[in-house]
Parts: sequence; structure tokens; C-alpha cells
Amino acid sequence: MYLDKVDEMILNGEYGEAKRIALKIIIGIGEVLGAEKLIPVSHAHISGISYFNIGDAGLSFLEEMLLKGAKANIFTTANPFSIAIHEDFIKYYKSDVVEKQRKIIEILTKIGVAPNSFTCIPYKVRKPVYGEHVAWAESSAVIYANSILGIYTNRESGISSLMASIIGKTYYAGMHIDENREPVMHIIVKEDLKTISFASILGLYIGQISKGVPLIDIKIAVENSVYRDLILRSLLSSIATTSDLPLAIIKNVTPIDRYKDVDSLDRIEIELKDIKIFTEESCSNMLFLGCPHMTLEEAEFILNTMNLENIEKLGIEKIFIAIPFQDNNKFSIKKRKNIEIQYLPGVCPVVSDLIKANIHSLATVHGKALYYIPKLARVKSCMMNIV
Amino acid sequence: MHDEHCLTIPTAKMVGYSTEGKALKLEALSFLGDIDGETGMIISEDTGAKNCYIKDKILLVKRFRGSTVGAYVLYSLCKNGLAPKAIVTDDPDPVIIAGIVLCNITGVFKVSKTVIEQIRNEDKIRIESIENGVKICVVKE
Repeated sequence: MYLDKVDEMILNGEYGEAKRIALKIIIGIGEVLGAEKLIPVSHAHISGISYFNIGDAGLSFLEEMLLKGAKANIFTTANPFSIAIHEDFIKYYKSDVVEKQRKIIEILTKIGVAPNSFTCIPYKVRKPVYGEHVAWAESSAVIYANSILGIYTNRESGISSLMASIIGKTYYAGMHIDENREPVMHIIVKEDLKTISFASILGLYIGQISKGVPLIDIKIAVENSVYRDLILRSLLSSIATTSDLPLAIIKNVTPIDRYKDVDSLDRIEIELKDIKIFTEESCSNMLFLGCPHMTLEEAEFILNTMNLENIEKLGIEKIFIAIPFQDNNKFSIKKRKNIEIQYLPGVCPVVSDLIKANIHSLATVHGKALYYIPKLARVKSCMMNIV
Repeated sequence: MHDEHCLTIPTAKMVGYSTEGKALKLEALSFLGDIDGETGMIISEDTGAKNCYIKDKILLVKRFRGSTVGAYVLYSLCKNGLAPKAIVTDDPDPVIIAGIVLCNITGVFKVSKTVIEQIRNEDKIRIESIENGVKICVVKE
């Protein structure tokens, strides 16, 4: 791999231990992926913020990196944290867990993560321009970046995105190269996309069957731009849940000016009967929205769009909505019909131990939440076909 | 008396050192969600290896999926002495490579599913870096 003089000096430790480790990891990944050089990136987004996910080893790693002089060299945002430090839930968790979650946030802020940036939709904190090269972790943000925003990022890990932040560069391989962004299969969906819940179920299925970047031919039968974007976000984040895909080309949506000869691609048709697994009843009296996060405006749009009377009849008494940290204290709606609304700024319940908070099940409309709630939060989840 | 059957894979890329251990095959894997981080036991049914422990195994993974936090989980498993000796797969996933590099374990990439099919669970296998590619040997004792 070509390295410039400064890179060589970094590797020799002349710019400190943190930069040396960061560059060593980036080069290690790049070499496996066949990268011939490094490229500058303008924005890093870090995952692995919940103490429940990264544990003591992850916390120690971050502490060591800070002690070794880790400092963000480019604009850096981070994923949401666990529910353990939310004021309404703090009482349910042991003080050492709360303290360790706070410590992770404190370390990342000292390293240089933008203090108000804790969210899984970093493009709402700073929207990169078309064609920009970035180093993002968080699978749902990566696939949205490549597929909707037309920016270039590999599916970085929580660790490699932090390393890219420290040196301001990443390896030139994978999604950073146009020829790797061509579709390898053609998926034709025979059902129009009208709701978030259908997009979720469809996305989970597409992720399972994809053997490389898919070109998805689907009609999105929704006019409203806010709703349309939320539908696309749930489709893509669900695809990224059941696959390692950093990109899915959606016909007439993804900003790409040419495709390979589509006729030469493997062709798969998907019908509703292939994927319909909705439950007609809710498994919970609580509904979770915001996976990926919704901005406050988007959340209020959804509250105005959903048939809340119907949702109440299905037994929902409370709606949790996860929103970016920067929207903290801006919300006013506390109740709609007889349903309590609770906003969770900067928080992700999916990466939290929910049993301790006396939550034993959550209904949702998001594929990523449906999939991970039982695995990470260790409670039951179900998909409601309501919006 | 040792008998062994070796496969040479010229396209494969390897990081880390030559190693040997028992094979554990997985249909799909995300280090976050599919493995209990405290014990190193696989908890998801659709991996095809539920209730198996990954410690000291050579994982042969058909496809990786899901969370970008997987690198941290692999790092935690290493720190707690629960890590596999090596990970062998086809598509190089940046999330997994980061964990492998940080843990200093062995990773072998670009190993086709056809090669993985030829190895059985619990086979003792040895991985060696050779001049052109990687050699994977099934050792029979």
C-alpha cells in the first residue's frame, strides 16, 4: 500500500501512540481488501456507544485510546447510547452500569465527538454533499449514505470508524471505488411500497436473499417526502440487518447515472405472499418508533398520520419514539388520544437491557428493531402493520 | 500417525499467523446478537451452530451480517479469553477484519463456499500462509 511521508512518520510513532494504532488498524483492513492507498475522509460516524454492547473491554479500549492521546481529526458523530442514563429509567439500573455508560460518552466527547450528535441518523446532524467520502459505522446509516445520499462509505466497524476519525483517512477499497458499486442482481418487487411496516418486512427478506449489491425495482406509492424518506430508511436498515450490504440501488431513487446491463443480472421477483409475516394483534401495550431515529418533525408527522384510535383498540397504551440527541427538550406532545407519548433523545432502547426497566415486550414497525430487540434487549418483539 | 488432506487456495488472503484448531461451521454470523458475549456461546438458531462455543475454534463462516458493533464484541471476547483461533470466510467484511486485526487472531478471506463445504464440523484443521495464497489442511490423527 502506498503511504506518504506523514503516514510513515505516524507508523514510526512520531505523532503519538493513538495515531500509530489508528493507522495500523486502517492499513490492516485495507491490505486485506486490496487497497493500494489511503484517502482523506471528511466525516466519521462511530458505533458501539451502548455499555450493554461493548462491555468493560470496550470501555477499557476507549479509555486506553484517550490516554494514548486519541483526538478526532475530522468532524465526528456517534450512535445513540443505552436507556440506562435516561432520567426516567436511571432508577432501574445499577449505579456502576449508569456510571460506565456516562463514562463512554465522556470519553468520546473528550476525543472530539460532537456533543449533541448522538443519533443513528448522522445525516440529520450534518448532511454530506453528493460524492463525499466518509467513514461511517452504523449499518443503517451506511446503507442510507451510499443508496440515497450518493456519498461513499464502507460499512465501517465501531472501531475502524474511530480510527478513521483519529487519522482523518481510510483505505481506498470497497464502496469508495465506483466499479464496486455496480448491481449484481435484479430484484423486482410486485407490490407497491406504501408503509413503513411493509418496507421493513420486505427489507429483512431482501437482505436474506441478496448475494451482492441488488438493483431493486419497486414503485414507492407515497407522495409525501417525509413519509417517503421514513419508508426508505426502514427498507434499507432492514436490508442491512440481515445482510452485510453497504449499498442497495433503488431504481429511480439512488443517485446513480448508469447501471450495468440489467438483462445480464440474476433476476428475482418478490410477491407479497413470499414475505407476509405481520401479526394482526400486538404482543405489547407499548409501541416503539424510531429505528433508525426519527427527527422530532418526522415523529410528529407519524403521530398525525397513524390512526391512533385503531392503535388504541389494539391495546397500545404508550408510544416510545427514539429521536436524535440534538432534539432534546424541544418536544411538547405528551399524550394523544389516551396514548402516552415518550420521546427518547439520543437513546436506543434496542441496545439496552429492557427487562431491568420492567419492559417485557415491544411492538414496532421497524425491521431492525423487530430483529434485534429479542437478541439484544432480550424481550419479545412483534411487527404491527399500522403505518 | 498423521494423515492430512490439504487444499491450496491461491485467491485467499490471510492476516495473522499460521494456526490449527477444530472447525466450527456457521451459515451466517453477526458477532453482535448471535453470540453471548459473556460465554462465547452461539445463541441464534439460524447460524446452524446454536449452543456451540467459539473459544479456540476455527470458524468457517458462509456470510456475515448485521451490526457494525461486531468488532467490539470480538475484541471483548479476545480480552476475556473466549475468542476463536481463526475466522475463515469468503467476502472480506470490514467489521470483522477490524476485530481480527485488533485481537491479533488469524483471518482468512476469499475462501469460497465450495471449499468450506469440504470441511466438516470438528475436523482438525491447520491454516498456513504460502507464497501464493493460503493452504488449509484437514489433519486426521
